[in-house]
Amino acid sequence: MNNMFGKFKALPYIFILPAFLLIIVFKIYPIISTLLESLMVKGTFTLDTYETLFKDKIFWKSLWVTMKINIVMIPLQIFIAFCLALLVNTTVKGIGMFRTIFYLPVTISLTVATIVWNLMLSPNGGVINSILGIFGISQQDFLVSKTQALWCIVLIATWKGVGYWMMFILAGLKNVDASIYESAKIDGANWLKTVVSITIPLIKKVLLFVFVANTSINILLFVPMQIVTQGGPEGSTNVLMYEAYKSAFKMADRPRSAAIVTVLLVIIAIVCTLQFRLMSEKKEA
Amino acid sequence: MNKNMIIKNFFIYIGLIIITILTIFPLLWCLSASLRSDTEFYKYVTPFSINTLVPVDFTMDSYIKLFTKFNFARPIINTIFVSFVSIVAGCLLNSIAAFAFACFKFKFKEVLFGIFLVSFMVPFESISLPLYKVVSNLGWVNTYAGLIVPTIASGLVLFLFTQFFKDIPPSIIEAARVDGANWTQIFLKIILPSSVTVFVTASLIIFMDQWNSYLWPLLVARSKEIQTIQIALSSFKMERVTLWSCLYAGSMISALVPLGLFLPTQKYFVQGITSSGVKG
Amino acid sequence: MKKLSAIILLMAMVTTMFGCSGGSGDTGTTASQTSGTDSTGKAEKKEIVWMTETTKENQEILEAFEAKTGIKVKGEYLAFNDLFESIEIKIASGSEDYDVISVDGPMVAAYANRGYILPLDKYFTDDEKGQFIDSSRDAGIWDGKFYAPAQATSAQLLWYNKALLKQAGVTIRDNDENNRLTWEEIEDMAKKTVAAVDPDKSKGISGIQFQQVSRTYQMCALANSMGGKNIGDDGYTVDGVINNDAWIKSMTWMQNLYNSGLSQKGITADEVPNYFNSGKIVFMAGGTWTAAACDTAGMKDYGWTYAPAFKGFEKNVGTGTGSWHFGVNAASKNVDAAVEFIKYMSIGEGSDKYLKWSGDMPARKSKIQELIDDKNTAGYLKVGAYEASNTAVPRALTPGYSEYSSVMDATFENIRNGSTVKDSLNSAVEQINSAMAKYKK
Repeated sequence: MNNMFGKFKALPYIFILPAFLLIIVFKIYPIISTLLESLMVKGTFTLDTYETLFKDKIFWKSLWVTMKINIVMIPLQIFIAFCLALLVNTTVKGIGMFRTIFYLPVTISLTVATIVWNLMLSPNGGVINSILGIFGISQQDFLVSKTQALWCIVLIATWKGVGYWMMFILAGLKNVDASIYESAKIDGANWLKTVVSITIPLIKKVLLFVFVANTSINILLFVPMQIVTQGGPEGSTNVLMYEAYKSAFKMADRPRSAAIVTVLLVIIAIVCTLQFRLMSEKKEA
Repeated sequence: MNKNMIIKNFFIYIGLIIITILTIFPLLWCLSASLRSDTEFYKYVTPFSINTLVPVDFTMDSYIKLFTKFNFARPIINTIFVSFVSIVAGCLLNSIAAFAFACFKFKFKEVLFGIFLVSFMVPFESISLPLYKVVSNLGWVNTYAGLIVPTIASGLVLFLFTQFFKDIPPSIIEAARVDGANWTQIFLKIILPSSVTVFVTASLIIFMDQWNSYLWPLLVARSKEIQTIQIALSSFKMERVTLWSCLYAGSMISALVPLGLFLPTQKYFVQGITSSGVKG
Repeated sequence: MKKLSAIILLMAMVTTMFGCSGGSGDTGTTASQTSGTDSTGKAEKKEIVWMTETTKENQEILEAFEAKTGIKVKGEYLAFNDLFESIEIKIASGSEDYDVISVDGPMVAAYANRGYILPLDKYFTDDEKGQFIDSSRDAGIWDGKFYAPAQATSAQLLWYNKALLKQAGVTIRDNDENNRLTWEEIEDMAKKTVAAVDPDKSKGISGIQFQQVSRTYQMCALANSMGGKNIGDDGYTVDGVINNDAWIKSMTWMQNLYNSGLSQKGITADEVPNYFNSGKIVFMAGGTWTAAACDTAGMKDYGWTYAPAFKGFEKNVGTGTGSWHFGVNAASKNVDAAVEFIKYMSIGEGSDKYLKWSGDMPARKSKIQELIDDKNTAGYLKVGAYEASNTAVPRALTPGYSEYSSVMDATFENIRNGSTVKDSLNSAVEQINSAMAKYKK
């Protein structure tokens, strides 16, 4: 579709150049030099770091935890964010206020959010336990339980994150011509059908952005683990990114950290490529 | 029809209110903790009772301390300044590059785009050391430039712009070209007006990134004169004590500023700008 | 024509960008220029930069030093946790921006091993090194070389809530350094107290808590009190050291406190002092600084005594200790000035001033003796001074302390939350061994 601009050969490069230079100097160069750390030991090229890493059962357990949390968290966050965006896209009175409220958690730092949720999830009569008590459910251990801690972190990250993703989807919805909905209404399509067959295809590009960005950010999430669980209990919340953080800053093992980050980058790249493939197929619909 | 609308609105409000409670509850907790002494807060923290949230001895002490003893205004102003410059530069640079990716066909497009994407798929923590070396060599440690320049080009923001610009029909641009418009005019008169929502959204990304940025300011903005807000907040967590009420009070303030910024942008989300007729 | 406009657009863009960074850089450059010219040392007025922890901020001492020597010290104050990360990035990157860094005692070996800090043997005489109490001096030594003099140390004692005990009618028997309370007695008293003041567990009162719960600083002391060691003499061996009977028994005891509900789980070390101040903890093992923290918070019912012993291990009492040391950045261009400052702060007037101001436990023998001899010294400081010079056990002396403590902290937390003690300790051994492997290559 873009062939008509073909004659301005140099133009796109000129447009990209400033951003590109900055990204090379401040992102790509540091990334490459980090990745090289995983391949160099005392100045010589070697795959030892990876060999050791792949033999380490902590790594495999951590990889499993990373997959577990993200398989749940990514779709969950996007689904909730999508529903929220549809909800605040309605035109009832006072909707602006609600929109702002839903965005509020984004403005609190993740550190503080984690501290507050840790208090609320206290196993000794915290708020959540008190509420559960009303329904006759016994006190839960939450963040100090090896079966529940990971899902508590999903809860915290989702509470903090959905408002952010909601905004993007909302921006996408607002970019859709309202007349399309009107025509659907006239056609008598029901609400769910409108959403699935009209809204989603129309905001596909935004959704792709949300999927890719959300995937990258969530796979790299480790602040809640750093602050409350330290990857525990018994490694049940020890995601790869936290393992990488520990390796670099606590275990004095930067090459191992770099190797883990490389693995993470590969995972993110694969997942995102899949998302690109799936969501771009019917692009011209 | 009218009856249906009332029922529909009723359910919408129910949903909105439930989500509001879920969203706001932890924040009320922060607010309450900022309005009482730490001792009182922990006295009532568990088991849950009305006083867990309602202060017995209401005090604004922590807010007063923030601005008298801890000079909290400085980091707020600093961070607003840093965010503002980053927004202007970031929106401009990334949107222009995104324009190229969305509307032009050229060699190595996929590769170049991939490079931008990869830039946000690697955790900042792991590139902090080499990046610190770069910035240190440029002599930018302890300067605003050190805080701002490395963050301007953002793969995420560029990606966002690209996705939205792809929706702009090429026919409009073509028509403008035929009318003799140059690229600056096209960018300013066609791309910009039809993408206000995305510019607002991108500004929000950049703002929140700078606002919540922690490790980088910790490394490059070490003097009190250019300290940013999250670093100021972290100084309440000391080796042996944590000044919780100050931490919460600071967090409340640090949440209010973005809110102040977000509220005026509301109007861009109220009505889709597409109906302005730019799009076919 | 079209190309021209594109170029103009690009240029506008670039100027905006550089306009921003240049304009904003101005304020910043002035700041860095001042430090830049000074730290080159060409000017008659020297300036050194000290990277340290937030609570060490005292401008008066720095000014007094400047008045005396003409050397200006610029302090850069970082939150406790941030300091470690900053060192791992900035000092590791070989930055010359810093001259003196505050080093957490147990990290001395690690930083020495990584080449971050300089050995100071040629600046400190044996006499000067001998001024420190043994645990503080040893903490500054790695591989036979003296790297880091201590700023202060710290001492642990037992704190309790007098009001809660009184309410429950529980009295603490007379005790002193030769006739210590036992942990078993304390557990007993704690149970009685909690049963009386919070019978239905609706108030969330803990019988016993540790101020630095799940941190090596304090939790290792439990095992030390049963005769356990923190690490082998070579600084690497942990098998048979941290998973022997002493460790298993002491950790099992600790776990029971939490499993039985006498002590509450889920409270982080950051929060324990607040729970104590709010009257929700009966007994708390904690540092000498607890008194000041209680006073600030308006908590008046605190009492203190010597650190408890385990029954049958009365001679083995071990308490947590150690604090901050000073190191000279290996890349510093102002080594002489840095050493002068360090001496002033560790054994000179600056140290006197600092100790008086902070109330920290001194690391120098003479100052400790002063505390003990002075009639006006607060009782808890006297007890602390005794523990610091008699029962204090330094944390594991190893270049892999950071790895060690990271694994151990998680292990303590797992044990507190109910993991099998033996398995947890064995797993810790395995993890520490694999982390230490790199030092043995």
